[in-house]
Amino acid sequence: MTKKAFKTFWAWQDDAEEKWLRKMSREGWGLKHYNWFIYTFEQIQPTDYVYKLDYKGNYADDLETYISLFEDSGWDHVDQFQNWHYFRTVATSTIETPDIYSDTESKVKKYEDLSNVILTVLLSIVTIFFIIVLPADFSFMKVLQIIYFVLIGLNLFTYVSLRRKVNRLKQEKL
Amino acid sequence: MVKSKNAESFLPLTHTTYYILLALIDPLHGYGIMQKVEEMSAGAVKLGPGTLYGALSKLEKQVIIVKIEELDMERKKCYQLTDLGKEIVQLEHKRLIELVSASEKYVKKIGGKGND
Repeated sequence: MTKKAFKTFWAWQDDAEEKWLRKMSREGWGLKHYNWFIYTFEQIQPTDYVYKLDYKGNYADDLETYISLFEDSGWDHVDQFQNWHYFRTVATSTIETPDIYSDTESKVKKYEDLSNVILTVLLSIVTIFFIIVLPADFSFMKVLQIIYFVLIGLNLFTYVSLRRKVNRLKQEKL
Repeated sequence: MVKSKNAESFLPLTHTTYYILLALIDPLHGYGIMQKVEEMSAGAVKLGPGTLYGALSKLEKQVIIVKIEELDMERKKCYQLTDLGKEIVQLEHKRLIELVSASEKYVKKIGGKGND
């Protein structure tokens, strides 16, 4: 049996998403697939799975090496959505929650890579907005202008929030 | 290829990087590095796969380590130190030795726990 759930998390809220997925698995729903805000769960024996989301920031053609590194150290690769990868492992009785990052520097790098991608997108849509969308004078352009305005706002907000997360992580030790 | 950076410019290393490089004096694949680092540091340094993956890609880009084709049973990619990498490990080791010996008599003066 499977079920689908619609839920939105911002790009910097991966911790909250991980917690939610863990709660779902304890209730007997294991993540199977993720695609644009739609989570597909399969019914499982209630298990305390710790989920971790990783953003693969480099575009090297080494997905096999990447995934095998995680699998060798006990993480199952659940699904991939764009450059995001969902991993999970069974929580152990030790107090510590297992993590895929063992120092702050590398954890920060994940969010820096992601914020750079967002910045690139932001700069492209701002450029398109000012060069093409804003000067054009068709009736439907009004709608497009509003869409672009929203997109710029969303990307800007995401970028700023990610940078704030980076700064916060740098200040506290892992 | 022109070597654009000399070995000194990579120092000092983080302890994670230093251990990874030490583990790669002999060819080793990703998971082998994790195990060896944990063993070398007597359990003090446990590398997460995300951290190790990031470090390996960075070190490979800097030509400090290199992937080698090794036909072992698991068909996993192995990594090894380059000449630049070997030089960096030696320089860092020397730097640490010098640091310890230069500070030794001063630290001893503090006395108390850990010293006689």
